[in-house]
Amino acid sequence: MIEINDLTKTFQDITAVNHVSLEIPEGQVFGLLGTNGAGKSTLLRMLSGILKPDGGTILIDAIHIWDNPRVKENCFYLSDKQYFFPNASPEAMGRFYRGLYPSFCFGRYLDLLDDFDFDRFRKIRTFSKGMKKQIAVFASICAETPYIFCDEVFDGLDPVIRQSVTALIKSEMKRRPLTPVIASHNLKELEDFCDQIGILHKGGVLLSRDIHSMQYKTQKLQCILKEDQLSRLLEQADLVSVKQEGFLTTLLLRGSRGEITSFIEQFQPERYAFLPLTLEEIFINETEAIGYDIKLLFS
Amino acid sequence: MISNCSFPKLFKETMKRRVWLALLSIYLYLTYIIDFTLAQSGKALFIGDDKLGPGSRTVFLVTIILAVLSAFQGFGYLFSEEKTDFYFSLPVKRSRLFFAGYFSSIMIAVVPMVFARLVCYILEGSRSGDALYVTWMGILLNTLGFLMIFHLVLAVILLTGHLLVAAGGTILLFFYGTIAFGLVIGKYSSAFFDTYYRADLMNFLTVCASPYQLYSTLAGTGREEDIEGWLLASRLPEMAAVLIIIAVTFVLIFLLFQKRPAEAAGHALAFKKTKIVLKFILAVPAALIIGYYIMLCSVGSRSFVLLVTGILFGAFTINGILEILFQFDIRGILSGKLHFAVISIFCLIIAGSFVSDLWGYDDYTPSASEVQSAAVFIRGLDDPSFTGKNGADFEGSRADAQLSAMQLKGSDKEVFLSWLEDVRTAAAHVPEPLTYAAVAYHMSDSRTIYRKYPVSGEEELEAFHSIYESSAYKKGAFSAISHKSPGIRQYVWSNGIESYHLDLNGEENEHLLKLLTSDLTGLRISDIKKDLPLGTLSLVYGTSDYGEEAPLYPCFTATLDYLESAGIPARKTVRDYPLTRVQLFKKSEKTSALGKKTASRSLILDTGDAGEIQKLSGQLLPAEYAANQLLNPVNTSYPAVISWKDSSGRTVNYSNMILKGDFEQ
Repeated sequence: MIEINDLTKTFQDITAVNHVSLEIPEGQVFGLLGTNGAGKSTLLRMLSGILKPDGGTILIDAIHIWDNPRVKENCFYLSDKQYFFPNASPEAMGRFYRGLYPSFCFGRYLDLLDDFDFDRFRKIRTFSKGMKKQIAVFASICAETPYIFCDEVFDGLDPVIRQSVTALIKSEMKRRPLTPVIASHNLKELEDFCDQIGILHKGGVLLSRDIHSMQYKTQKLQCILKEDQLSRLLEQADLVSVKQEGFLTTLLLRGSRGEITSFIEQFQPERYAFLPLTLEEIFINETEAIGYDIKLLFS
Repeated sequence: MISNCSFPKLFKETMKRRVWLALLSIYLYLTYIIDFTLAQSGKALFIGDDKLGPGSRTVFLVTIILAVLSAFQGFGYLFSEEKTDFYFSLPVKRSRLFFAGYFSSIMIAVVPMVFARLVCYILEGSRSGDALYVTWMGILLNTLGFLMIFHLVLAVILLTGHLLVAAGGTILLFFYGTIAFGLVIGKYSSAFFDTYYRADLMNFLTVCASPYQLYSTLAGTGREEDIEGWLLASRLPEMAAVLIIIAVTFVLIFLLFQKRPAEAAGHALAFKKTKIVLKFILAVPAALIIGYYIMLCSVGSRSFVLLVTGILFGAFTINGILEILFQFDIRGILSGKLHFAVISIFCLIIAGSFVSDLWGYDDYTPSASEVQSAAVFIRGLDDPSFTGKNGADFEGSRADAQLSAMQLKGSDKEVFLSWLEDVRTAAAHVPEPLTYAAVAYHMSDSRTIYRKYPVSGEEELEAFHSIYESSAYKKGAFSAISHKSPGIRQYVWSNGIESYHLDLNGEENEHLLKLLTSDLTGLRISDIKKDLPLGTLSLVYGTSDYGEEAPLYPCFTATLDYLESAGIPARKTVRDYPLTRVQLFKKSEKTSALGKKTASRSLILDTGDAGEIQKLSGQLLPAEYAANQLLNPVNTSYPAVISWKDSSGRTVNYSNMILKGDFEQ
């Protein structure tokens, strides 16, 4: 588990991370969401032991990470612009990592390169941005570290490759204990992937929630109601949002599916149906409660 | 907690990344071996230095190049955010990361150097103990030099976060002492202290604060000694300074690396707190130098107003430039006002201390009991480089050599100090002195203090006779007679036209040296007022290619007779040669609109007429024989070229003649 307590980091006069406290449980994909300048990369770099916090603590499995190789052996940092040695090939980088990460599985690394049709001995600097990202992901997976910190890992990947990388991480999570922490500015990238989301804004944590429980607590309903029944419903419902298109009303309601079903049937709708919720719609629910318009954050 | 990544593993990985630097190092040292080999037979591939010892300029330069490259290549990743993130995210302790880069740099630079030097020792062919000694001294001092430069450059890298800033800082570092101490203190001292001649402490500080100069002085790259001449004992202060620098900088770079924040990558400075210190170190000497040069624009070159204005301008400009560099923003020129104020005040205090001679520099007079021995050089006395003007300028003279060699002790010292007191008193009332005397006080505590005093007139020079006629003075002034005769390899006589080598045995060497010493010691002020030298006698000592010259005056009867008995025409002058042609020139000086003076000469006579030549030849003499312009002035406005036929009928030309007296066409 990763415990972040009252973490602060300032660069000259700018507070990049402002008294952030988070708990990242093991075995879940944690999405770190935020606009540019929210503090995501700074937080990840502190988690990886690159930056020293100005205040607060970071404990990974109850141990401080700063200048601690034993803890760092359990973490792999994937930067937004991952660095490779100037004339290194994927095979050479694998050898390098093998020398530093005790659990690095070199054979599996080579297999992954072959499976994804990479020339092992071609110079990495001749690869595209997306391909370089993939190589970095392979290295991180094969390092067999319990924690992977990914900064904008999906940026630059086409949808097919993104899908395969996501599948790779998910299968890895099934195989062994793995806790990926993924930073992104794109809600949609993390939608089908993360178990828990933390939103950063201006260096602070806006909220941190388990997605499944959030999805459980909010429902999207489309229904056809008589006008007087609709007015009554709107007065009584625990409503997030309502949209009317002709005689069709789309409601975002707080509550479990069962509760909402019982509630709506009181108003004898002519028709009603539950629709799938996007992550954005869930967060509108959450952030509205604390006074933020999340659309502004991600527009 | 100990990382699973062992140091040997990390070191091996680091070395793999630095193969190109290792290859470059091997290539440079192979070039050195070839260059050294060719130099043995007088040829050159690169520098053509045939020194086996620490004085080898090739190895000196290569170690500096490798020190700089090693530091930048091994730790240059700190300038890049992505590279820094990569390295700092690895499961390696920072200290191990540091040592992997550090020791790999040493291996790459030092191992090939040791190998190359030993190969050169073998190639040299000399298996003498001295050759092996200088080889090992070379290895030791070049390693120390490498370490010092490497540490200092690495410190600059760790204090900065940008490649260009680090590169600029490195260049500045190399010559900081020369600028901050040598230029600033030297210029201010000579501008405001009337008695300033030189200051050994300042010279030493200048050398120590300039890594390039310190390393060069330690290794002796400008000197001639190599095998059978190289002494570590003469370099102990520099050795101590280098060792201290290495030790202190090692601790500094280790701590800096541990503390260095990853976010420093890409910024001008890595540690914000160093800003004011660096500004101070850079801006203060720069502002003082700018102030000095602006002051020179004034009439008389001593305007205090211009000095202050220049300092303020310099402080503002340098402060602004540094702020621009630190912030990477041109608007930074207007920030740091408090720093500008502090720097200006400090500079003005320093300048003011020179202007007012706060430390009593000019009034300094040591007591006789503090002075172990003294030395003096009077500009224009036995001084071929003196033209008769500007006696305060000792450049080109042999003043330093004489002050170093002379030791007036006991009664000689008392007489000299008394004479000096009279000179200083007399000079206080005379605005335009005749000349200047450079004085060295060799103190009881091993320091040497130098001063320069004006000599008001001929009366003071006349009063100098009792000092001039002492054997201690003569030994210091004419170093030819301060050596012991077994060291003499050869005598060379010359009258400016002909020269003869004398090959004498040990007894004859000693006898001639005795005669010369006696004649020189007996040389009086009245003699040099009356006569000019007839020739010179050079004594070549040991393995040196150069002789130490002593003049031969007409009153050196014993020496001249002995030389003539050995078949040398010791009393032959220009008039005794069958000259075939004389070309006479007139020297002139032009001053441009900007005040720049250019010397030129024009031909005024070119004659082969025997009568004319006969008339002129009695007045011609070699220019360097006009060595006593104060007491026996010679007109140097008419340089001449003479031609004569030697015994084989060959025409020989001599261009360094002058016509004493005036020329009437």
